Amino acid sequence: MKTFSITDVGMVRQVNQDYVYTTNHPLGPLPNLFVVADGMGGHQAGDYASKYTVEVLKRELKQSRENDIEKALVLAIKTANREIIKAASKDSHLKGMGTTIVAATMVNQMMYFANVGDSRLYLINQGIVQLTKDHSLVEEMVRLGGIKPEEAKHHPDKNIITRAIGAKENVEVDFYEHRLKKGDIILMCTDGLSNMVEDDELFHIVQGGRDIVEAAESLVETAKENGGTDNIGLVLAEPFADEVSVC
Amino acid sequence: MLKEGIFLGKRYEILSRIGSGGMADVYKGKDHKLNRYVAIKVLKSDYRTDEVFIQKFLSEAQAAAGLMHPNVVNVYDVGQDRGLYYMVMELVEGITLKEYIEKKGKLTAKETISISIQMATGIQAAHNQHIIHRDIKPQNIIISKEGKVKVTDFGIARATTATKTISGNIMGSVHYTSPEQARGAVVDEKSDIYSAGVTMYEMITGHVPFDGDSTVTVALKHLQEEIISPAKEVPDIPYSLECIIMKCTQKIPEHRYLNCHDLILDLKRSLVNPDGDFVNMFSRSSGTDTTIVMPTEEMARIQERDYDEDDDYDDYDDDYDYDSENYDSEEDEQGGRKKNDVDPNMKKIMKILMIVAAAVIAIGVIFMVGKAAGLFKIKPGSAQTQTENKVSVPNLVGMTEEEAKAALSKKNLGYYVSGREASDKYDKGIIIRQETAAKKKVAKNSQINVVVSTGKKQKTVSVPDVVGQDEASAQKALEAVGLVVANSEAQYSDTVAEGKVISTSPSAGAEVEEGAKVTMVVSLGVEKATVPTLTGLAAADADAALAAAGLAGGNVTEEYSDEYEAGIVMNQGTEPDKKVTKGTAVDYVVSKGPEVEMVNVPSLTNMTEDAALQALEDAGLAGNVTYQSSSVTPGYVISQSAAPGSQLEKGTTVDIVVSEAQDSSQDGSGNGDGTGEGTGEP
Repeated sequence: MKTFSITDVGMVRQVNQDYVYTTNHPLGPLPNLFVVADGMGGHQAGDYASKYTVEVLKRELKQSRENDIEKALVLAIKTANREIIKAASKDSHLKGMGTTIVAATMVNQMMYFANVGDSRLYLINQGIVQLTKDHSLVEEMVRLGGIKPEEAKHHPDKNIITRAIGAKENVEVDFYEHRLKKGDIILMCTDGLSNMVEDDELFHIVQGGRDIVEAAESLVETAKENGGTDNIGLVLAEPFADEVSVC
Repeated sequence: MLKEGIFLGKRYEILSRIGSGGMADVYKGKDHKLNRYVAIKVLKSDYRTDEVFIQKFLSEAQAAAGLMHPNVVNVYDVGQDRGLYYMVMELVEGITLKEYIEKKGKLTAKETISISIQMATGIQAAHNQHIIHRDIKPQNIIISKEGKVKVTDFGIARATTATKTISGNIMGSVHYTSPEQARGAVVDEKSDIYSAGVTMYEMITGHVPFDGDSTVTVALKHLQEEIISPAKEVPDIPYSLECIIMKCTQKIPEHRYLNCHDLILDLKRSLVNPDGDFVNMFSRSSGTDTTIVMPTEEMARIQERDYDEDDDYDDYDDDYDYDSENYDSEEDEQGGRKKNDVDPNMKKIMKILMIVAAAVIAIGVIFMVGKAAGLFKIKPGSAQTQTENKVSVPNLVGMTEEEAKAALSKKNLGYYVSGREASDKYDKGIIIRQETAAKKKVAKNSQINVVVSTGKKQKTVSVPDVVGQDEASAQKALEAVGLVVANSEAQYSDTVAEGKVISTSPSAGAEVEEGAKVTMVVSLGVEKATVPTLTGLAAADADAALAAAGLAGGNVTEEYSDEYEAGIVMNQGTEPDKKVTKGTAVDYVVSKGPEVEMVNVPSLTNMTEDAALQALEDAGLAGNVTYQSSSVTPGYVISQSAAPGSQLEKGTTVDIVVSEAQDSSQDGSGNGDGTGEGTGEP
């Protein structure tokens, strides 16, 4: 597995609240882990939330005796949620903090991933497909047929998310799996990228890069050229040939 | 959260927190300039780093500050201090309409209409200034203790932001959101009218028309579900009020009241003629026989409207079949609706009735608010203490600041330092004068401005210009005008000669108090550097050593040396440890290694052995002779190891071959053969 993670404060914000993490070393039952988190909250609260969530996630997974990937990952995310709420209740500066999370691991030609909030996981191969569902007011209205996708694109309430780590005591975590195929590239990112760069442009940049490092840097640059109004955080992952199933 | 006593913009003192919204905390504060209590809204830290949002906040707040109306919570000022963005507003003591509805369960029709008229009048005032509220909801309507209804939070409430928010925070707003707002379309005045209609619905029924577990469900209902007529729940609702609410809450903006003026007109009619049939319901001709005539005025407005997304709109229109049975049946019963033109006499009666009704309602509201006093966010006591009680202003002159403060607070008066100035009569910190004369009767809680002494006025002198003078004479010049020369500093200078003054602090011309200290900066001349030892260093290291010492590499020459290896500095142009001007170029000589002299190899052919050796010696070469029998005349050179004309290092040995002596009989022919062989010719 070849991976590259990058995060940038963007052109407007003064603080980077995005946090990215990748490891190719085992964490408990997971042979590897890739995470993108987009924190929210004033002062140091947002950046604390995203970083702390990832730390709890790592710690929980390392200690996990659960063999089931889904149970281990979802449980770790739920624990992180409780710890964020606890930390926020103890420190008035952290009150109201929260974060999105999208976390993935690859095991035997399979990719397992979970998300809360509006950070995304895209599958790029012949085309680009968003595999996660955004937990945002606007996207949920689109899914339920209330509004059209075109209306969602520049909706003023795009910033409103319906689920987050740190929002409610019991967070609902979406869990997915995908069988990796030859040529698959995984893009995980915060909305600082997906709001600034259209899906087909994401596709062209990732496929046009000499390698994932160049592609990732180019994604960040494009997001900044298009305004960079938010922090940008992303992970690109490319499985080796023996990590994909033969078609 | 801000601490009490903090000042914003050097003017507004934070007194206590009175509320907290999604984006801001609200404090009760005091404006010390205008001596009045105010509400101060301070943007939460989450938004302080969002520059796009802040620009929007400031510009919208400025627009709202231009809006002054009795039915609006007026915005006085916007500002920024120590990274805090704040808005100063009228302090209204009362409760929100939300709290009022919760307290009462539901409101009577008259109360609903009275409050709605005032609310719509406030919204209209904003619309006249092209300000769209975007977040009309009972939480943003305040009923003052006097029974006045005031709309607050204009413009900024839903200012677009990129800052991520959890949906729970906006649940309060989504209940009142218009379908076009839910869709993310551009909103106009009619969106506020929708939200006002939902607010009216809540007043009369005691609950919002659409509720659900999540913001998404509620937003979808605004988009997709028809509002159930409040008459279903409140059977005694006046027919006209029911129609007004239904007209306000139409999904399609053009089917609502097009402006607040029309809405207010109908609300007023409803007061005097509750069951009148004067509300112009817009209806599309559907399967029924009912023919509805759209007022031409309204038609014209619709046609005038310029839609960017005409097609989208048509789609939307088809999706929502809002012709509820309720309506059609009602309309059938009532027949076609037409604009109710009131005759002049009726108008007069209406006016009188309305005044009476309004008075009754106002009293009712005040009564209710009074009963609900426990809900007041702002405890009475501070703002309304400005009673008729007058007090006599004490004489403060000659007091210390502390004494003056105590004397004033004893009389319930405020203390404010309007200025500080020098005084020969009063020591530092003593009140020189007061702006309100002593013994004057003023209202309690008035602010008394005082001027405080900064101590004796000092004679000031102008710092003389001593730049360029030598230190001693500069000091004399400074002391001559009554200044004290503090320890001078030394500095290198490329322009000011050594020992001369470069500058003074304070600088020449500055007005300072007599006896003030002046620091001189005296030149050390051009900055010096110490020449490093280069001899023995490699050439590259020599350049580095020079650069490190602040010097430059000069001319580099190469010379032979038996003492230094090639590439090593053997000599330097400027002696080591010598002080030179910074940047001076230092020449040095690099060894080429020991000198090697090349000499030309002489031609030794046809020479005798002795002559050949001599020739080699003369050329600086050595000879090494071997003998060989040959046809060449014995004793003569046959060949040499280095070709004639070639160059060799001086002292190199050249091998020569000399012919050995032979029999004389062979001599002649041998000679000939030998020559032949020697030249290699056949």
